[in-house]
Amino acid sequence: MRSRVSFEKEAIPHLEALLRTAVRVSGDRARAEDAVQETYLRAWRSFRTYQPETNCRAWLFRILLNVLKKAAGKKRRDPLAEAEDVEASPKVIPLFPDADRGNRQDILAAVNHLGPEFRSVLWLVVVEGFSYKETAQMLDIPMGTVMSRLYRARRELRRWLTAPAVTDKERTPGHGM
Amino acid sequence: MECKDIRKLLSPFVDDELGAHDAFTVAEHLEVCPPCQREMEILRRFDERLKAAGRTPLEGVEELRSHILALFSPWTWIRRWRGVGVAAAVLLFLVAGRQLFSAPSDPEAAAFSDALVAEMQQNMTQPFSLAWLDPQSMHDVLRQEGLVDLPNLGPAGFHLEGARICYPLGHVFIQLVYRNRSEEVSLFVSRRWTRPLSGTSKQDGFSIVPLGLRAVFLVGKESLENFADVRQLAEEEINALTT
Repeated sequence: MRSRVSFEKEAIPHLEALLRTAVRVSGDRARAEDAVQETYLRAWRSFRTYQPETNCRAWLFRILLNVLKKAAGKKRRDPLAEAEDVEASPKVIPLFPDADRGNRQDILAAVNHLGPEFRSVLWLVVVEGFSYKETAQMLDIPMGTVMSRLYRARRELRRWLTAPAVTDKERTPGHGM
Repeated sequence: MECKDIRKLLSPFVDDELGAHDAFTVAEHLEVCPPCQREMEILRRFDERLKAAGRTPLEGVEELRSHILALFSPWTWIRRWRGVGVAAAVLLFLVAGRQLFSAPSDPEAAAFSDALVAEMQQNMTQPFSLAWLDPQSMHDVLRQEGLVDLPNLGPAGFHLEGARICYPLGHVFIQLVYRNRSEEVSLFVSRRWTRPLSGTSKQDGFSIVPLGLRAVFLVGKESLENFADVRQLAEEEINALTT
């Protein structure tokens, strides 16, 4: 049986990454915090079976995504589709003639306009640095699907961020992906 | 490979997820194709900026960390289960206290063994529901309960025929049945009442005989068949012994 100290040492350092992903996926800070807390409780309950050589971070993320999915199931909605702009979404997405312009909020707002399945793959791979294989396992999808979603997510983001300015209304998911 | 094919591979290329052969093909193409090279640079820079934006420190993380760490603190669990603990303690006190405070004040008094009481408690609703003991089992029970001398305490001319554990007056007894040619009597033995008796009390087939530190009562067969009738009498006798 593994100790509480060991759990804190291995699992707690990933808290911030879990929280920012939960915020991005759920679109709500309070729900994200609840999900992270539930993730740690679940992880603690099964920590005695956790093998030290396994990837603790990926393990926690997988739990988190399941928690978020289950929470959304209770509301009969897809949490990935529920994402709202945590940061106030700009009315107009700025033009970026290349990828060097645009502030943090612009970029995150653009990410939020992606369809949920594309947003989660993009986030896990680019921001959290998971491999395609790890991402596929976390989301229970084939690796080829990860690759194609990522390609489309990047292409779409680039199209938005470099296209002529349009209103936010025109950039609803129905207009994008 | 044409540019449109290469551009589909740029995403896994920048993620280092391409196989060696494809990665080599893309790298070779990029060396000779400035447009695709620029495309890849845009992709990389965008990834860097997205990563930087996504990893911007969030506010309130420390509070959440403290809150979650507190969840695993033993004191949190103690607080969380405190209500249940108090309820359990009260229940334990009520159960154990009932046993303790209903016990005789005589320090020599001792209840039956836990095993016997536990066995009895499974049959509390039926005072005489337990099976008769065979001689060996009876001997084992009596020895376990420190009552090995009792089989010799039957009335003169009677022999011990059987025994069982019973619960006739809301307390555990061992019933020893003695028989002669024409009569059958039961000796109910309890270790609950320990006041020594000075004589023998007899009334309507119900007898309490002195047995040193242990009180027993002897009931004739007819009285036993109508035990409810003698119950009150037995209780009065027992109360008299214990007050």
